[in-house]
Amino acid sequence: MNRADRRLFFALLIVSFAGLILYFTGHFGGDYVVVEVDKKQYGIYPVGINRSIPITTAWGNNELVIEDGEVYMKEADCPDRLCVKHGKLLGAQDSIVCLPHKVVVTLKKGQAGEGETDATAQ
Amino acid sequence: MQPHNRKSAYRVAYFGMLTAAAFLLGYVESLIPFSLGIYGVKLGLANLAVLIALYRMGGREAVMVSLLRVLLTGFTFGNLSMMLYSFAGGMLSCIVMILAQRYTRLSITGVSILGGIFHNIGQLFVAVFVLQSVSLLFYGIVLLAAGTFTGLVIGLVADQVLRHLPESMK
Repeated sequence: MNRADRRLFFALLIVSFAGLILYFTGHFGGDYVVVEVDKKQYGIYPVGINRSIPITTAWGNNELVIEDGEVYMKEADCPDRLCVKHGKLLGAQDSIVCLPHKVVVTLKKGQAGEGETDATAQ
Repeated sequence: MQPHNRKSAYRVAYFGMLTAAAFLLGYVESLIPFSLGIYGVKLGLANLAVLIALYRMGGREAVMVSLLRVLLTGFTFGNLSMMLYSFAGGMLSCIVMILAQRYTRLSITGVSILGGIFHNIGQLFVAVFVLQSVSLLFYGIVLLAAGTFTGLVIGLVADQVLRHLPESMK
């Protein structure tokens, strides 16, 4: 390990810690979630209404839950279930991803635009 | 006394061993639940073999070891989609490591750190592309932190291993 290595390491450490702090505290509060399956919009749901959303894809099934303002993946039948282990969405732009099922759930702030706040799932 | 010319049988055998080692390390790594639930966080053990190939045989061999490892692991344990991520991460990581070794003053530890980070970045880019979701890039911060530490550990290990291996075959 030489001087250059040390510099690189500490520089990266600082950058990533700064990034992590911003990530966890910076942009809190989401208003609605956008669920996309295979890049196509599956539905938009407001965070204020408690509900359980079944997501059916050609590759498998997931269950998304909105409860007391928190959004998380409750169930999934994918092999690694990392989407479930991800836990609750933290702030705007945070997302839960189920790669095997091509599901992306993103928390967003503001107004939901088109496809309003009633669940538009098919 | 080891023959050093490009076609020596010794060199071929050495390369074969490194490839086998990379494959095995990839498998061992999959047995250790390191990722703590975060997608894309991995130990990067196989990078150890790639590093040794890089520092004892050369850039070309390092790329080959990396490529073969992706193929072997992919066909044995994974599926085509997983291979895409693995390939992107592995190749980007390898190229960055080759460049870092040649053009920076970093020792093997620093090169390994960069390798670890860019392996994650490569995979992240593929995920962003496949899912068309730019918000995934926020994950990059977590992966950056993880890659730095795993890269450091692997680099320190590689440094020690190299102290005990015979001299270069470049």
